This record gives sequence, structure tokens and C-alpha cells, in this order.
Amino acid sequence: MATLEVGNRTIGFLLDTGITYSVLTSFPADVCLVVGVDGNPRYLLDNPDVVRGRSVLDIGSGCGATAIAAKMSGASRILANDIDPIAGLAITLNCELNKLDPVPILTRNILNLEQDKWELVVLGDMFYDEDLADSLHQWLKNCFWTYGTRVLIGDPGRPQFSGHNIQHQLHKVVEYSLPEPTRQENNGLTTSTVWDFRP
Amino acid sequence: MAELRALVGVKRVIDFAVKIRVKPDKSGVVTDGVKHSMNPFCEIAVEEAVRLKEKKLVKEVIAVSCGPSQCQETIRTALAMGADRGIHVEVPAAEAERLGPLQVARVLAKLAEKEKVNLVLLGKQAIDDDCNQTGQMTAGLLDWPQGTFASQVTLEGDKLKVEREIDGGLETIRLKLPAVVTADLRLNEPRYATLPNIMGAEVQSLGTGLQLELPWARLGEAERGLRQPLSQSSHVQKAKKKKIEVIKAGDLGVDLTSKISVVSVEDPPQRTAGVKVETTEDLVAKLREVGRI
Repeated sequence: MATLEVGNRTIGFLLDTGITYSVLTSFPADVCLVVGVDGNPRYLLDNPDVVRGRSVLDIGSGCGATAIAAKMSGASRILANDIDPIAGLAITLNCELNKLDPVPILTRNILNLEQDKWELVVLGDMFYDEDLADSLHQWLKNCFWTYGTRVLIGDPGRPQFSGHNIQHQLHKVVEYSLPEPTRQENNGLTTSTVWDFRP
Repeated sequence: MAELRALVGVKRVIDFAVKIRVKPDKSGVVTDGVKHSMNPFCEIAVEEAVRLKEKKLVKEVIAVSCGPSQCQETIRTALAMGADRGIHVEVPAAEAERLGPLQVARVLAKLAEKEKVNLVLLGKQAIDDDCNQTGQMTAGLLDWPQGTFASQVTLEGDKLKVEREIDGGLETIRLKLPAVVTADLRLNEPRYATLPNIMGAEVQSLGTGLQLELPWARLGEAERGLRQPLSQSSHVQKAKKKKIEVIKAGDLGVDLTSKISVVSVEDPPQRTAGVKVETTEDLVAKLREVGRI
């Protein structure tokens, strides 16, 4: 079983789909683990106060690392959102692997749906595309102004993110150095930063 | 800190290990069905760009390739090695065969300006034509300084210190950015990106397996030592998060016509047997006989 080292905790993980396309190796042997470059899981595990008793929406959940970290840190309500149906499968399996009840999953594009009230919205490595970045920026602003939602964005230094307007409204929370195996899996990336979005 | 942006040219060439066969009509070499890969010197250029990015000296690495649709494989390799996005300058296969350094340099120069990069990194030459001209021409067209045959590149503020491998030894020069650098063999040892992953996995239905081939050998293995392949399909997944923009040379206002045409391509002459002589006197006599002295 492949594991994800997050801070000084080891979370068992089966599969990280990463993005829209994914490749599955045959189960159950030789699973493919892609270690994420999002600092949110570690931040939530290291700072459970951020989520304890709160409702958390994880946009672009991927393998579910952030959603699972939120659950472990005592979030009262969680929704893992990823349009990739395989991500949905991965999240369920990873909950099982980490001996947690499965978290609710939404595979529809949340940007097209009516906004719900969330106390915390987290996004990991979602600003790699300019158009998507623009849509997310708009959606997050609405969420912030309508519900006073706290928004945390994890990013490993994607150029599209560092060059986007949203930068003016971000406050740096913490920067983590990516562990060596993560660096090898993600050429060019060395750190991941968690940002607080305050428009 | 990292405000620099780098454009890296990558060329798709016949793989170094393939035995080249000349076409019977002598118009060129056989390329159909032949294994191709990224030009080794281009790999070194990509590696250097990614290392600069890892040191947070470069903020974005853009990989560009000119040619037919298969060039996207080469760009994807660059993405998997760590480039951020790709630009494919689409040129139909027949026209691509006539692409030479001048045409590519025109494209790169235009792209360098359009993308507002500070650094153009290229391999010193391609292993198919051995031209060793594209970097120099690109610098000339842009009126940028150039550091060719680079064996070491160091950023010093707004200047680039380049150590060059020249016949007499090593020459160190300092270039004001923006600049063009061409990579020589000893600049670095590129990381692996295994071929099957770069071939771009399609979305596969649940439960189907993926056949992975073994990574292939590299140029100058004896010289560089064996390298460890990086892990499997993670790279194609990451590479998929990165866009490849497809454009035409015309979109850049570049004319691809060449004033050079290939007359013929032939095998080198067969090596004939040598002549052995017994003594020095015999050797001198022989040399006189064939008019060498």
C-alpha cells in the first residue's frame, strides 16, 4: 500500500488521479501513487482548529487528501468535489484505507451549481489553467462576499497562478518544502504554499 | 525573486540508437516507422531550464517544437521533465523535412518576443543534421547575446555567466539578459521521462491494465553512467495538466521557405581494406608511389 507523508503523519493512499485524465493500473497489485503537491492536507492536519466543527468543501479533491485531512481534524461536514469520476472512486477507496466513513462526493462541476453555505472552502493546485482560474476567482469572490467563507488555496507555484490577478487578494499562510519523492514525481516543483483568499 | 521566463526548443529526431538507412532514391533517410525521440542536446537544455526553475530563478519554462503532429510527443516529454507548457508550431510533414535552422530561428525569435522570455535555451545542435546554427541565428535575429556550447550556466542578477567548451579549453563569458544559450554535453545529465508515459495515456476504462515498456538506453551511457528512471504514469498525469498550444508559422508572420534544397543523401563510402608494409622504408616508398609525398 502506498502512503502519503503529510507533515509527520502517514496517511495510507491507494490512488491519486491528479487531474482530468488518469491511468489506472490493474487492481489490486501495483497501484500507482502520485503524491500531491498541495499543502492543504498538511496544513489542516497540523492546524485542526482551522476545521474542527466546521463545514468544509474541497474543490478539485483528486485523491481526497484534503477532504480526508479535514475529516481527521474534526470537520463537522465535508464535501469532496471533483468532476473526474475516477477521482470519486479514489476518494472512496482512500477513505476506506484510512479507516474512515466515506465522505460525500460530488462529481458535477460546482461552478455551474447554486452556491451553498460553507465555512471553509479549500482548493489544491486548481489554478493551472487561465480560464479555470478566472472562473474559480469569480466563484470564490461570490462565496466570500455572500457567506463570509474562509478560502484556502494550495499551490506549488504554477506560473498561471503566480501571474493571475488573484495574487493581489492572497495572504500567505505557510510555505512547505516538498518531500523528495514528491519533487521527483513533479519535476520543477520544490515547494507548496497555502494562501488565504481575502478579496 | 523568480521573474525570468525561459523558452526551450526541443527537436524530434531519429533516435540515436537507430541504424540509419538511406532511401533508395537518395532523397533522404528513411523515417517512416523509425523510432524518434527528443534530440539529446535538447534534453540537456530542458533539464537546465527545469533546474533553474527548481532553484526558483526561472518562473516559467515553455517548451516549443516545430513540425508535424508527432512533435507533441516531444513536447510532452519536456512537460513531463518539468516544463510548464508547450507550444507546437504545426508544420506538415513534407514541409517539415525542408525546415532548417534559419526557419526555426525565425520562429523562435518571434516566439521569444511574443512570450516575453528572458532566456532561450537550445541544444547546441541536432544529431540528425549536425547544423549547430539555430541558437546562433536566433540570437542574431533577436539581437541578443549568445553563450554557445555551454557547460555551466549561472545567473548573476541580470547577467548570465556561461562557461563554454571550446577547443582550447573553457571560456567564461558574462551575458546581459535576455540571452540565448545552447547546451553542450557536459552542462548536465537530464532526468528521465519514460517513453510510454509520454506517449500520452488515453482515458482508460476502469480495470484495464497499462503495459509499461522498459525505459530505453541513453546517449553516451558509458560517459554518463546509467540513470535511474523516474516513476511511471505519474508524469503523464502531471504532463496532462499542462497545455500545449498549437499554432502555425503563419500566425507568427514567419516565412518558412528555404533557399536550400537537398541534392542527394548517400551512404558514406564503404571502408576499403588498408595496406600493410613491413618497414619504414617500405612505407615511405608506398607513400611516394601514391603521390602522398
